[in-house]
Amino acid sequence: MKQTKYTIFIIENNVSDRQFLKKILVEMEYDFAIKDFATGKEAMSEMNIRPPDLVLLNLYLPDQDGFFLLESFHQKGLVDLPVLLVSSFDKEDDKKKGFDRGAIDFINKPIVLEDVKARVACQLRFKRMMDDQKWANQKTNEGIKMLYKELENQNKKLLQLDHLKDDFVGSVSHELRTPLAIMRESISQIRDELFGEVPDQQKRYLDKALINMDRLRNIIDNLLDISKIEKGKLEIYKEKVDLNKLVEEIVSDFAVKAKAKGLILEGAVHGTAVYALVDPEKTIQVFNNLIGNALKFTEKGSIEITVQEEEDFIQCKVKDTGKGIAQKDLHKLFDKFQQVGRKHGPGEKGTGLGLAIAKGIIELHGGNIHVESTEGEGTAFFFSFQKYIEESGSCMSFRSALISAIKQFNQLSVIKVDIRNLKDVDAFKGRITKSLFRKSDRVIIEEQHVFILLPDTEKEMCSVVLSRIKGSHDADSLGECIVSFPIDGLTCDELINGLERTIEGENHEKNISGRR
Amino acid sequence: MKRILVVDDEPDVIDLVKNRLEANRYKVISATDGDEGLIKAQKEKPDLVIMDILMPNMMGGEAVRQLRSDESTKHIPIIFLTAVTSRTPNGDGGVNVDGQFYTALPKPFKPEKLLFEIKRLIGDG
Repeated sequence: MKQTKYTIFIIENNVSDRQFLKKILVEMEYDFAIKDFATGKEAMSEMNIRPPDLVLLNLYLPDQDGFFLLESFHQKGLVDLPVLLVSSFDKEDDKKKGFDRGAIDFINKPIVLEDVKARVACQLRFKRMMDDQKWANQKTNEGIKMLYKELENQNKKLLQLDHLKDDFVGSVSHELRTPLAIMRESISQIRDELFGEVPDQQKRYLDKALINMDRLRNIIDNLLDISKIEKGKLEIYKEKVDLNKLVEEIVSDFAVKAKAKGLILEGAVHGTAVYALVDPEKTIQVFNNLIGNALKFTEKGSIEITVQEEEDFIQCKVKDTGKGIAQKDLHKLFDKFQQVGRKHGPGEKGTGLGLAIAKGIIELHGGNIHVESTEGEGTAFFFSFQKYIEESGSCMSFRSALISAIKQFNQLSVIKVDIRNLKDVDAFKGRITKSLFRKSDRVIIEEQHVFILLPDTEKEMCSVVLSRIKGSHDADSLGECIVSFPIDGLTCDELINGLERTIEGENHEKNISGRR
Repeated sequence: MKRILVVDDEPDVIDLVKNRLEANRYKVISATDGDEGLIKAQKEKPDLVIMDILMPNMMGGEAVRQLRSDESTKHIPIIFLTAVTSRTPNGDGGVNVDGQFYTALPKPFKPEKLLFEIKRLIGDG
């Protein structure tokens, strides 16, 4: 421990008292430096250079009185400086005034040797204890600061590692795609007999390879999605989506799988549209993940999907009669790579990312998801989406879609289909959704007509799309017409006029070719 | 016979796409980076370009930008076939070059989807 040599100031104008005090201090068995001053002014100027550890101060000095000096010490920040007042204390409130201004003890005049020794020794002991304590505290503080700094550095390193991991997942996922593409297409070409006939048994195994490559691709996509969600880089494009219709389509996609397991799969269809403001593709992903899970973990009974319009939001539910999830596992269900105790058959293993992705997507939409489950009875996921609120007349939407498409693309074809005579409108709409793969394609349904906007598509090519979306029985009964930008018109109005003329007029071919 | 330019830095990808397209009666020209792709597109005037994105010398996006700014090639339809876009549940994403969306098929691709997109843009081979 640090031993410092203490300094004591004696501020006393009376020469004999000053000498006496000095003599007493020197006789004490302490190693300290003693400085004596006859005036407050001298003491103060020395105080500025190096403050002492103890002061013996006469209350009544010729130049400044002791009370004034006490106040000056305080102003200089010497709050802890122990000051012993030396005085005959003639006035009744001298002691009180001194203590009020920070004095710590007093020595009565006439000076008694033992009195001085005892009081000074007491103050010095106290001072030493304080210093030791202060020193220890300082060391502790330094230690804490160092630990804190180390912690901060470690934290920084961890964050860097975390970013590195995200980048790694992102770039590795991309790097895996090209080799996988080459493998998949090689096998696919052999399977499709591009290089000669392939026996059926070999085909079956090539199919297995293809299915598993698609599974691998799915895993890569999931890894990429989760890394994007974690980095906050997953983009969503919200639009008006009929969730009831969406669920209907998804349910029909899963129908075969459910039937094969003997399960009842019900997507609640009340016939009325429930409009949400969501990214349709990401929303499909959420339902796919949840329904896919339910199918995996349900051996008998049913899977029920409901879409319920509430006052401020849309509540969705995916409920199964599967084996359920243990209460203790529920809290980690949405964590990454958690495949909590729901055992399932071979070939059904997932990535443990599906629920984490679903949660990420729902939260990006501003909704939330929670789960209720009873072991042996089943599981239900509840999640919410934002409601779509109609902004203006719906007749504007085709127009505004057309205007923005003209601005954006060099070439554009518009197919307008009259659906008044259509027997099964929903099936038709379903075929449209399934036939259009491109993100830039737009389908707008307005009262009696369906408009399909196909950017970068020549007029002649629209027949390819039309042939895919037309059902076998309604091949001839649809009143359809096609206009293309820029050949049929340069502005939105010209194109819309073109569409109206061709549908009303008898000789639409003439109309269109006349404009070319 | 419709001619398609395939630009990809992986010879195996070119080889496989070529097989698949030739089996569907398209004629295939190829290039292994954006630079070469640009030169071949200007010289050969293909009916369609299938373009990779991450390539040495010149990236696919830049090659498309240059094809679009050249009068003789600006009309040629383009499909991106790339590892840098991921699947979307309903189909496939698009690639945005200077505010314009292009069809983009992610690798690994399904041949029937590639053929459908080609047919839709330029018809049968």
